[in-house]
Amino acid sequence: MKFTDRFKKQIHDREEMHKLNKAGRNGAKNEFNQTVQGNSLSKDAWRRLRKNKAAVVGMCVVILYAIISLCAGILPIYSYEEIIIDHQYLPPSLTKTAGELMLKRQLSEMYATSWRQGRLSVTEEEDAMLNNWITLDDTNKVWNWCYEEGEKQRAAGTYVFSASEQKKYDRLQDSIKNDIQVTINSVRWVNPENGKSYKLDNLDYDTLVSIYAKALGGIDEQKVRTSLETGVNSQIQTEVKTKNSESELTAEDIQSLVAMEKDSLGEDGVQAKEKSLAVDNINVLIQNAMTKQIKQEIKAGTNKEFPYKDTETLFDDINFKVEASLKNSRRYILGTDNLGRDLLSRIIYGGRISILIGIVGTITSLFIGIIMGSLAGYFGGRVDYYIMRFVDVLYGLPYMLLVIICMAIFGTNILNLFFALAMVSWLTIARMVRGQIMSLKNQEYIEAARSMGAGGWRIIFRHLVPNSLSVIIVYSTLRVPEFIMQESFLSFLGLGVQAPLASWGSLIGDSTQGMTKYPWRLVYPAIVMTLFLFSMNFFGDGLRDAFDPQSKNML
Amino acid sequence: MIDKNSKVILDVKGLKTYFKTDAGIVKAVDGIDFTVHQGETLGIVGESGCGKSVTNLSVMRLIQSPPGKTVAGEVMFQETDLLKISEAEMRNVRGNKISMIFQDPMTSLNPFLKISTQMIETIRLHEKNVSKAEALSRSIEMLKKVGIPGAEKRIFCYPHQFSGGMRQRVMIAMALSCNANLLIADEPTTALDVTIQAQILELIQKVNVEMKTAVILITHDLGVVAGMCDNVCVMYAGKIVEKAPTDKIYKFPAHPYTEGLIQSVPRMDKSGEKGKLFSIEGQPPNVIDLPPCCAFHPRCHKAIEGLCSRCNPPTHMLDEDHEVTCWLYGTDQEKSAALKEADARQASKEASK
Amino acid sequence: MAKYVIKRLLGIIPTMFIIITLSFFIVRVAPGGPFDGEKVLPEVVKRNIEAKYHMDEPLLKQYGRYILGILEGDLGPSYKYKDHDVNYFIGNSLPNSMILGTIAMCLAVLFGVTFGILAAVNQNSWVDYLSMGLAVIGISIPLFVICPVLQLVFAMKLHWLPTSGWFKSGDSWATVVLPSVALSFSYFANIARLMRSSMLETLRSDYIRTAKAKGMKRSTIIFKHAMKGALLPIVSYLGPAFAGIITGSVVVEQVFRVPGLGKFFVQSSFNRDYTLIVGVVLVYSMILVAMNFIVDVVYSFLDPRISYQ
Repeated sequence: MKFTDRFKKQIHDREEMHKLNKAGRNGAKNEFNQTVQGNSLSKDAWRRLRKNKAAVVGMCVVILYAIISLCAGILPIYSYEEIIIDHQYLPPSLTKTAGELMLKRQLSEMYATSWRQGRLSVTEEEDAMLNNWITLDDTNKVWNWCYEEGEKQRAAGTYVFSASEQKKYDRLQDSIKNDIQVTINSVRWVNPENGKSYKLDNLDYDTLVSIYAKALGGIDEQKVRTSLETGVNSQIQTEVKTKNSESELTAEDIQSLVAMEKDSLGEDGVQAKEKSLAVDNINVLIQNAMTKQIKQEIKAGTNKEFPYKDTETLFDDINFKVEASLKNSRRYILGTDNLGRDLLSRIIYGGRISILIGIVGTITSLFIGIIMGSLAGYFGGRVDYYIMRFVDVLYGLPYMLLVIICMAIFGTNILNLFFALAMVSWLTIARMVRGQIMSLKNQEYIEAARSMGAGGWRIIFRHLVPNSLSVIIVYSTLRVPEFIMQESFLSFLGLGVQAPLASWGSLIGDSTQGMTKYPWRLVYPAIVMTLFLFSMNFFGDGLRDAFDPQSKNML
Repeated sequence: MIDKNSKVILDVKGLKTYFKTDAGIVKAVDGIDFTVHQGETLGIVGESGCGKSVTNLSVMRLIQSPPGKTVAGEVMFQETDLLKISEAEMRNVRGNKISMIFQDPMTSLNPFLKISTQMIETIRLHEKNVSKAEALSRSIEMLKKVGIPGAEKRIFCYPHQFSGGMRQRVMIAMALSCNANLLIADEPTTALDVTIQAQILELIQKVNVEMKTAVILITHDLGVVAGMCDNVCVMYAGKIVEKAPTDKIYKFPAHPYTEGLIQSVPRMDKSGEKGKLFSIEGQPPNVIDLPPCCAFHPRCHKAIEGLCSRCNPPTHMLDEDHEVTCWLYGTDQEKSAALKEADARQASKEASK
Repeated sequence: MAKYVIKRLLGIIPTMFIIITLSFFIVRVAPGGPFDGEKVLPEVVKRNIEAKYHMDEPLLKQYGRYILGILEGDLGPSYKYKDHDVNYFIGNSLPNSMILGTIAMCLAVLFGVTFGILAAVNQNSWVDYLSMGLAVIGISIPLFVICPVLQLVFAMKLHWLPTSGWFKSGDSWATVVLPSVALSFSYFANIARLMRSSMLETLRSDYIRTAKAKGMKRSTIIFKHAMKGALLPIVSYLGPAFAGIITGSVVVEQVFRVPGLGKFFVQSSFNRDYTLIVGVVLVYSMILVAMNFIVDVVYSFLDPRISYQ
């Protein structure tokens, strides 16, 4: 590797620098009686990095992203998984609330329909223009135009709502004013016997059933059990159906498939499913009850300030936090997705996952790569031969395709994703570390360490690896964006991060449906992701140039 | 020996070439003068890094810019200042009137092109009316002249198929194929075996005599200089410290550095007392940001306390053709004036602090 | 030379063998089978089907049968699509992928080399900054962002080019443009960067100094003396680049609805269509190995220093 060779010299230089540096710190004088300023490698690199404006900007952007991802939990953003069906596909807007956007959408739809019905008066040219837009699939333009024209005509009094339209309009206005969104958080059950509180997920099945029965108004527990069973049954049934949407199944087939699925889950698996169903149902019950309660209070004339936060108790021994806000006064700066989830928070949380995968993946591959590379480099001979042949064969494989196979076959979850990516990504690092170590291991200080009785592992990890560290660090900065790209690539194909979790890749992948109508769903994640990769690449380039000025702009 | 009255073909005056680096400005060549007469062989001697190669690359205007730049001086070649002519005119000088041989024949020939291609293009570049076949036969002749056996066949080989010495011969043949007036040989033998070295030097000498080509021979090997050159310039830290005909320099080395260099050459005829060899202590200085002083004083065994380390040494003619830059030959008047100046400098420096 | 080529060709055989073996067993070790998702079949019918595909035999025997089939050029029947075998699918879709990949590769090399040389020759000028800025953008934008963005801008907003389709399936020739541009973009970027740095390094080398000292024109120096040496890193980059183009085509083919091989990859993995997966892996690896081989041969032609005696 060219990269490695260049560093060989640099490592040597570095040792020289260290010698000079020792003298320099004490303000050494040279033969001309001039004070010589000492300069360490890292100081020097930092100085060079600071000169490189693109790299500094890149570094700042990367730090900003890191801070935002770390603080995602305390940022004032909506939940990334809260689904509000009414709010689906709201366009981004800085000034307008969700309600206003919904109203605008409703109105444009109404005006567009009445244009088709001929109730909205338009000239012939305008008519032709609208039709042209429709053939070009530019519905957004049609709607916008109709909305503006309709509003104008309504204000002028030339357009009047029909009765059904008026009714729709009023209903929407009413719901915008009054609809409240109630969110339930940290639901805990307090054991009345000892006063300890538990998270619902951690309770055992029987307790859960009894709590659920109580919440339903004290019905028979056996009934609850059967209802949970049927619930899980239908859950599995839908799963099976979606899986086999291509082939036509008779009711009998489905029955036996469900039975098979249940068999493979085992009794524990089924019970776990029933448990989570019970937890979900209890949450829904609480939410409904709270919504009802708050609505009643408003009707009764209690003045509530929104957003409103409180801790409440229901069904005697369940504690939870409740948050209520006016649903339609929300603002979605970057719009919403197909399920009415806030795109901004999805991008932030998605970025958190993408960056996390990038970093953890890099560390994993570094770990494997360093161990394999240093083994091969230090011991040489047969060990080296076999490790390197293995690496060569793996290099010959279309490895992203292998990752795709692994993900498709072994199931798509984050752990598998890590595993699959780490398996194929350590090769280059192993080669690099091997080259480094081969060049370092014959140097005097290693001889010295060996002569003092240091063992192989000690020499590798106390002497060799730390000396190759600058190469490794620079390389891994450039590795992170690559990892993020690979993860996003898999998520884009639907093989990576699964909903409700998001990653940049899955956001972009989801957005490709309905791109013309809802372009913001593609554009914002794409911009955010590209900006990050861009900065990361600039930063990595700058870092490499700073540590190794000779290699200016090498790949 | 050359005729003193023969024409001057190269006259370099006050040449300064600086490099801009991260650490500061490197004054690689800092005001040097020398002349080359027709048919003369001039040796430029010095340790590595003293600026000998940069001097000649500056003459050829081959300094990479940035970071390097020739900031002052003039290079008169056949009545024109090479530093002032256009790039196109300069191209006509390079390879045609002044040609160069480089230190490392292994890397100086293009490994991807056949020798024939590289030689023919040189000839046809400067003599447009020569046909390809003609150029080829001329190249073969040149190769024969520099002593390459089987030149007719070997001209179609790639450089890597030649040995180091052979490659240097090819380089010389290529450099001479246009009958240049001046040949600059930049350490032509450093990368070669000792036996090959002698052959190559002999070849250069032959060229010098037969073709009346003036030669600038850059080397750090005083033995080579003694055998080949008419005149010698000794360079140290970007400056010429002594300039004289070869025999004078060997007989009466004036500058302590020259003296050191000569003494440090192992000689068979004068095997030193108890086989001990003289060596100059220390290393050549880093030429970034040097204070006004003799750059050699830290290593000089004859340095004058309080003078050499504070003042730039003056240049003196010891003889009509022997020039030296050293305080050892300075008059008392000069010394006191320089010391006064140095005091004033120091005072103003302290005042500014 | 011939000896070297033969030696290299023989070296391909064990690599391919390992790849086939690995993929054959990996897919079969995984849970689930090709007939799981279908109608629940009566035991007898299921057993009959399995017998038809020899799945009732021990794994090693199946493996032997498969290898023998490959030696005869038969990649086996598809388990999912019963009317056709794997050869049929690959034969139909591979040419499309190859056309797409080749066009993308040519674009990447053409523009990459041009921009790289321009940047190197005008180092630290606006040309340099512009092309290198473009190159960093190319490296930073993932393929699956470029594809929909190009589609959105050039097909859906500007209506210059068709959104999707493929000229061989009866659509216009213009369908080739967007997918190949999208696919080539990041390789263009890498090649441009590589070309710039290798050209700069070559221009700093001794033999270029010799050429300058001979009085040659800058353009002659660049195209006659520096070009060949500077192209070497590009040539060795083309091998891995082709691997990347193959993987990338999975996304491009999905977004632009190109009937290529990439589609089968994801689909057959989900379907557990064993023979199709292994067949596709086999074809991809073949292309990859062949590409590396060609690169090596081309390299040896470019660099006279490499000899095979």
